[in-house]
Amino acid sequence: MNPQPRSAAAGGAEPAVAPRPQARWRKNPRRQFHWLDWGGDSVVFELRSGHTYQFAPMVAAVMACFEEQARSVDELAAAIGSDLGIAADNELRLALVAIVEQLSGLGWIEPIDRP
Amino acid sequence: MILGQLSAGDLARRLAGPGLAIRTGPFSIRMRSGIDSLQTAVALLYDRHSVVDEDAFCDFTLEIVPARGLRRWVRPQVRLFLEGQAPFEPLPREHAFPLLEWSMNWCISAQAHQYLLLHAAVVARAGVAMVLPAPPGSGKSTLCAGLIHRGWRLLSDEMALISLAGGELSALARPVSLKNESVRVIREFAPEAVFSAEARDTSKGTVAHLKPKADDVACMDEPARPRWIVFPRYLRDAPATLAPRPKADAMLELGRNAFNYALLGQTGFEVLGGVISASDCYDFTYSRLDEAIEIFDALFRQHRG
Repeated sequence: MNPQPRSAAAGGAEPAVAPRPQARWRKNPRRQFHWLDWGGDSVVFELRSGHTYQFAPMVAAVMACFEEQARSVDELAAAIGSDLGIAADNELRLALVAIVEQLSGLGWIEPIDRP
Repeated sequence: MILGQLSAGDLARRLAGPGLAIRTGPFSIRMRSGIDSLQTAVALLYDRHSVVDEDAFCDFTLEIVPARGLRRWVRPQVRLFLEGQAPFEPLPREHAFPLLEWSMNWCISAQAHQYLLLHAAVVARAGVAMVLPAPPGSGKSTLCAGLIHRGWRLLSDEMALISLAGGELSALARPVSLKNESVRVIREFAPEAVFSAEARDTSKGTVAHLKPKADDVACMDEPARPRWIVFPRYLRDAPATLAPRPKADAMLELGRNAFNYALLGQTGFEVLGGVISASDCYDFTYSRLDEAIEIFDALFRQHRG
């Protein structure tokens, strides 16, 4: 899995907030996204920056989860593990923490209770 | 009226005086110049294009004139004026026609934002188009020139004009710019091809322009639907190889190859996304034109079922 986004233009990042295990995250309500998906092969346009991104499938899946509802990393692991039929183990959690950090750095998600 | 119906005297009078206005796809362009080599090339390469009335509105007015001062006599140069402004450095007089062509490209790419503009060649067959985006040196124009001499229709060798309304591709049907070794390759591949005089030592090397075919000019108002996006790469002695490319990856690459994708914002995303959705995307490596054309003809036959 490669969570690094590729963009048609350089992205304007926001200061990342390190994910705490129990912290809950939500989609940043000030950001609007437009997705195009060709069966797991997807791009997303972020309206505020005007940039287009290509993500690894797992990153796209995580963002889709946050678009549904706010979640902690543990809840995310449970949801994704259940959907994909894989164990919600430590390896998955670590991968999800990295993705949450990345999305937080882009300003696409935010903690519900900002420290 | 088409340009070829003008007498040589009338053509020279218009070019040196009020301007010769022609239509190329959706644009009308007025050109003015008293430079002989430019007049000769225009008469040769644009003879099938429609002439626009002398006093009609034109999208762009380009004037190429001799530089002033000593440069009129010593290593003479020419300058381009666009609506009275001189946006580029002067060039040697023998580069007058390439300068005209490059200036037309520049005008369209900088101003025609009613289209999504990609840096790409576009050819079509039976109403379906193949977009060939690529950086200079990739063999894009050579491939385009080869295809149009084997049954494919020329829309453009330099720019894909994509409608923001329907995602269709418009044609320009202008001369194909070939450089260096490509000129010899196409002369051998299509001995019937008509070329401008070669301009040597340009910033791109030796350049010659290939005349568009009469049929392609005649149907330049017919748009084509996107069907294939092929990223070509010339690789010496390589066999022709077509490999599928993921659509998301192709979309980002096309976005980077566009002149105004960022400018168009969400509309650009939606239009480009529509083009990608409608197209099969490939990477293509080749060294021999015959092999390349065989592969593209097979794609077309597959499309026709």
